[in-house]
Amino acid sequence: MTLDLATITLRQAMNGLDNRDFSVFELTRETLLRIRATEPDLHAYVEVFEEDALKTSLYHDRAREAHKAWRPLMGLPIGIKDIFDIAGKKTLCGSRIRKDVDVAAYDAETVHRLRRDGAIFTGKTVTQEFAAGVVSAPCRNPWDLDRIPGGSSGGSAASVAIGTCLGAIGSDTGGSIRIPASVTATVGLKPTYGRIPLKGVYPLSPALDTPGPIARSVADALILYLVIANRAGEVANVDTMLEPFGSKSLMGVRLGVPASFFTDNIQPDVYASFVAAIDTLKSLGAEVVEVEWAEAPAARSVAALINRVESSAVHHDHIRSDEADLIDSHTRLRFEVGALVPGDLYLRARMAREAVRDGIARLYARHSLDAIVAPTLAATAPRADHLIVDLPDGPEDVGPALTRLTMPWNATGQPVISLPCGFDHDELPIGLSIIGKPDDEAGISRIAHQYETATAWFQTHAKAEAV
Amino acid sequence: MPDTPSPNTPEPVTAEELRVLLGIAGLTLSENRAPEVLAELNAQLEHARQFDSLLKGTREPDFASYDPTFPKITLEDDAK
Repeated sequence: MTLDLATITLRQAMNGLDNRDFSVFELTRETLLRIRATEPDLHAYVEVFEEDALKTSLYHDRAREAHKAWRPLMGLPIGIKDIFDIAGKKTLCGSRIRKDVDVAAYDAETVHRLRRDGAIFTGKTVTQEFAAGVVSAPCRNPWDLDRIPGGSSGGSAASVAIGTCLGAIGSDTGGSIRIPASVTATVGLKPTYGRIPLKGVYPLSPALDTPGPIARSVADALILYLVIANRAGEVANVDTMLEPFGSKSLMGVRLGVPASFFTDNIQPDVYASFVAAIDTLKSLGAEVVEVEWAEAPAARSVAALINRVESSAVHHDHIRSDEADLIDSHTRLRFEVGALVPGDLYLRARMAREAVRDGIARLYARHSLDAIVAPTLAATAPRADHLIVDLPDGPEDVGPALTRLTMPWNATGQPVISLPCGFDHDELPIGLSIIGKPDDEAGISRIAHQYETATAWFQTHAKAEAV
Repeated sequence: MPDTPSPNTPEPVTAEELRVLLGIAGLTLSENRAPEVLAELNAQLEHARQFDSLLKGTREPDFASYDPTFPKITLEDDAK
């Protein structure tokens, strides 16, 4: 196997290392060279750990030669969103207010699990300030450098898309894994809420915050998920976990397509790609039924209000300090407003969240659904210098426009995987979401893998030459 | 979703009420920022209208479980 970082997946690199097609040092060196070549324009990284990564690569090569205990990620380059603590590094959270912060004393629990299972950290990836937004400046989209990479895990998605790491960790409070995955043609997996530890992750809204992977394929995302879920022992079984459901690969799978809320007021190219994806799923043997989730707008509102109030509490001191002006004006505004929402409304939002969860549970039961499929976003990536999204009902600010279809699933806490399903007329990526029952990450990955295998989107890559 | 606000959801906040709320919250704003804060606050309150109808007929409030376990505190910590 040749080492081509433009196309290679995490799993292919695992095989390449196991077969000694290339060494960990060679993989790491090539990754770091690619970072040097692309970063001047892409800005996906806050900090690159060149020396640490090369030293660690030599350790892993020696460990492989000595046949030490095999770990699933042994020597694979992984990026970490800069809200996760890495021991000895600053966690800047994309904020000027933290420029003088001390280095972290310990790894975040997710980082610890990745390190323990052999990952080599390429660096800290760019996040929207405090993970509160979808723009992720100064990072740009590798498919079109005039466009945003989505957010808040924009640096993680951009680096995966261009091949300056083979997988990355992000976090999702209102869509922050799925949004950048959708607009960069990568795979983003938001796990079930509460299953991945938040220790060592700078909070935005603890009732919603969910760490998860961004990767180049469904298999890669599942592997990274298993590692951070402390289930690394299952990585060896990924092929079995992703095998077809029958002689037709989705035979017996029942999928719900939610009407109206998820298909109204979305860009025509996004709608066309979604319809084509449904046809593909049907052709693979899936039974597709239209369902109506009337509580979807309420679910979005529940997540939005909880998010605002909790993030305001997290930043209580920041917005009342002399340094408040150091926070981006939009971010500061949302933190300030959260402090003005009456407490009883926050508690009522928490109560309504349970009603939302019960409602979606009934929907799955009533229609015997294995999963729901929906467009990940209403739009493709807008321009970085014009943060307005053109939608059929008129222009909308980028924040609400890109979170409209993602936030309801933060309210329910269900696992969601977003994967590429096409391109618009400007050749910008479009994402498809598969939403599972709680704790069914493997199930939605299995469904997603059948779709991915049947389509060519997974093999279309952003080109570093364009960066 | 209801077309008319439920009695449980607040009316839009006025500029005068905003000044009171800011005082309670201990926040200070320059005058030119007050309109955007007011607009954003009312947008957030609008969210409550979206989910208020879900609460009719729901069971008694059942918030996430609270763990009353005391943190470990050493005498050295306590003296700080």
